[in-house]
Amino acid sequence: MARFLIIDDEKMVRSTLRKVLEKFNHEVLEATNGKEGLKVYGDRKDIDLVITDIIMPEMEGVEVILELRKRTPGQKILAISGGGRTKNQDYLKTAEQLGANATLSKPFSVNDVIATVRECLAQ
Amino acid sequence: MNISISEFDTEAIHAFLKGQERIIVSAFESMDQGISIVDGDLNLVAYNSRFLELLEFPSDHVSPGDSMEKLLRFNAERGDYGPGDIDEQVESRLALARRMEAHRFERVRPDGTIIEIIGSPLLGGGFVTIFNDVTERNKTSNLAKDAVAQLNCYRQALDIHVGVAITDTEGKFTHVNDRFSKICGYNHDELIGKNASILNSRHHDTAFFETIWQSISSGESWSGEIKNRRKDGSEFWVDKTIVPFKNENGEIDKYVSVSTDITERKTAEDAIRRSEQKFSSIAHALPLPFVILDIDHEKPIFSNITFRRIFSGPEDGTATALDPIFVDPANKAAFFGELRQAGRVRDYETQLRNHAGEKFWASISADIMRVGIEASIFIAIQDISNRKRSENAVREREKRLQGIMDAVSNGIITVNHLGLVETVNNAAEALFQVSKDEFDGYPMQSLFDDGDPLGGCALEEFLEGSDESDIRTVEISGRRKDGTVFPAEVSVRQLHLRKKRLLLVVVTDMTSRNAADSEKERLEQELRQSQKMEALGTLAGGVAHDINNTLVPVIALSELAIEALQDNDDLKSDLQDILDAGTHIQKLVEQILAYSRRDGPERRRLDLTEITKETLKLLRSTIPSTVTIVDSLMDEDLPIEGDDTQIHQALVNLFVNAADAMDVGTGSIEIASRVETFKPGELPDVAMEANTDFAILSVRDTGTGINQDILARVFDPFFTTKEVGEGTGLGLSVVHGVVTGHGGTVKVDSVLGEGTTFHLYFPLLDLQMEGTPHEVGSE
Repeated sequence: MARFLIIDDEKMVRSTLRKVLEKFNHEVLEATNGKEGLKVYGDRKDIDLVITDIIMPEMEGVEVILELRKRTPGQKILAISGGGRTKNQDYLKTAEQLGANATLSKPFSVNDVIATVRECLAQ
Repeated sequence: MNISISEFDTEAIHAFLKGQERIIVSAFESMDQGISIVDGDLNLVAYNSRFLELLEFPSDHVSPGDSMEKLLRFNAERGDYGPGDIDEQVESRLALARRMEAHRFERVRPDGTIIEIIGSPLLGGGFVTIFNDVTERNKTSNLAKDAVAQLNCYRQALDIHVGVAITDTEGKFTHVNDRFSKICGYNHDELIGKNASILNSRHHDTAFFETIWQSISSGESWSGEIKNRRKDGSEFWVDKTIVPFKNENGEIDKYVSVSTDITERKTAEDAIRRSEQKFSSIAHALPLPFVILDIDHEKPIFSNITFRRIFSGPEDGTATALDPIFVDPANKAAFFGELRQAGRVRDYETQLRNHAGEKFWASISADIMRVGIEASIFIAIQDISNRKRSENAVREREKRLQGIMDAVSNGIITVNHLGLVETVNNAAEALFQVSKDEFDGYPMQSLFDDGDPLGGCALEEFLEGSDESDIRTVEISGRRKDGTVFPAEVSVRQLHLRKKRLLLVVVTDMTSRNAADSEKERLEQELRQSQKMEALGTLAGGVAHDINNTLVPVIALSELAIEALQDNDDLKSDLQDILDAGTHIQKLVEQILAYSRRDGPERRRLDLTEITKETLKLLRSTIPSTVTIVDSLMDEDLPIEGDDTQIHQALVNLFVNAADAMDVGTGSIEIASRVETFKPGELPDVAMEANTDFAILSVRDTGTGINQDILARVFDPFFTTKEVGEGTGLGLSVVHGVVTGHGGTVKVDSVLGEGTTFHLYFPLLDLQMEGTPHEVGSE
């Protein structure tokens, strides 16, 4: 059992991830954007893995990663992205360079998610 | 001194000679005659050197005291007396001498000289003989004889051809010859005693006869032509010479006249004179200047007034030499050259100069005319200055027009009312490959391919209802001389000149325009394509995010649902379809993103062998197990510069494509690598400055193969042979985009039923140029 914080502005992405993770008996917290995500995250040290989207309103995923690295240097982060909103750009590489433990392109299969999550938690 | 004096027997001679010796000797020697003296016994007493010379006696053979017989025998033996018995010839001469009588005779010597021999007896016996060369004298007397004979001949000839009459001082005939009678028609008796005036024709006035009379009565002869009257009243002309003859007392006692009948000549002369007068009056009346030259010296023998007025000036009434009237002497030479060669010249155009020195253009015609044996040159001149001026103006205008026409790149052709080409410009020559000369009279139909609206009778239809301001245009095929055709745009306008229709045809070669059009089309298509790609990129960027997000529940929740259902649940296969559809959309988006991202690959040093091998590992799990993957890659590093993700993507696409090509899902895909060097230009679509090494990856499948018709299109974006929903049509275009983005190219070989091989050419890094390996900066 692990605790996840999912930060994504798309409700269907959040709910899908929740369903998948809960099926594997994980606990899931949600936030609809980076600002809210950091608020939920607060000072908690009990989040095993933060799954964050990159492109979001209010605050971008990239900022979230930078902020989390500041607050909790050892925080495990999985960056997910469906590509640029206006530009055909791969933000996942950027996320990786900023310190995301793993990245996952949307859409993904259940197996992708479980494998990547396991990989992150094992680090 | 050849005279030798021997002793003389006779006293008298002896005494005479003694006293006169010197005188005689010198007298003998100075004589032109030969002299010899013999005594009564016929022995030689004395002689001079002329004697020896005339008789050709050798001096050493003759000496005083020699007997006469010896000399005669010498003569006879050498043939002086002609053929005959020598003794007889000698004896007869001796017998004559013994008679001692004076004698004179001529002897012809064998060399033709005639010697006169005169012998005179001397008192007291002996005689002296004088030898005289009379050859010349005899010759002269022969001449006189000949002359008389000749004169007789002349007289006979004269009597036959010429009338001779002799009159006395009164003018009465005393002698007439037959010819004279014949000329005047009176017989001999009718004339003798009659006055010469019976022949008077009254043609000449009295002054004429007075002049004759004055002349001959003063002792001078008179010559002239006289018209006389015959007995029958007809008139005749004679050429007469009258010579007065004088008697011993110096008084004129008769006149001899010699007459020749010249009636025929006179008649002819009259005719000629009348003809000449007529000719001359016509010639001078003509406004056309002309001149007649003698054939030998080209000097004028006649020129008419018009000619003189132009070339000699009003004051000068004489004909002018022709040289100064030619402005250019070379033209005169050419003109006469032609005339003498052809016998005539027509309309020779040249510049002449008039008497005032003004130049003008003239057209000269000339003939060599023969009248009897005489030939002359007849030259007529026509002033063509005005014509020349207008001709020049027209020529200039035509030249300018032709220049304008030739400067136009469209073919311009005028066609006359008969449908034949009249004029063309340079462009038309080049367009139809027909020279201007060949174009002359070229039928208009031949200009266009058969069946085209302008090819023949359809022309009228084509032009129907058009007036001079209309230009009708049609696109048809032009036909060159060699029969080949070219696309042409033809504009036709009709003009009416002197009531005859002239067609103005402008032909534009559409070959290059069509080629340009297709090039333009290609570029436009390329532009459209790149615009499409750009739009697609933008669209993909914008939409991909949302699609991907949307796909998250589609894919993941389908999986969860499938997982949750029992195996025999019907819903399970429906959910699987949803999952497949979602996965397909996911791949489509991926491809679109990959394709639209191709222009900006990362640049770093890579080992192609390593990337390929890594990709192969990954592919083994993706490609169906029924398809064998054969690794024939070389082990050596293949350093290139590029983006590993893109290359990875390209190889995956290629392999997936190859696997899809397997008809029944079984077969093999072999990948091999090699290195080859190419010279600039050897690889199409690849710009090279120097020889370059290329790493070539070849992916060969044993699939169905690609039809040659579509082989060239396999790299086109969205081109697919797969069923809708199966392929994106972007797989191979991504491969192409990636490889060309890396400075390389892709080639494809395919045999239907055997399989397809894709060759990917990547330029190798020149390690020697690079020096130590380093990372090439990313963008």
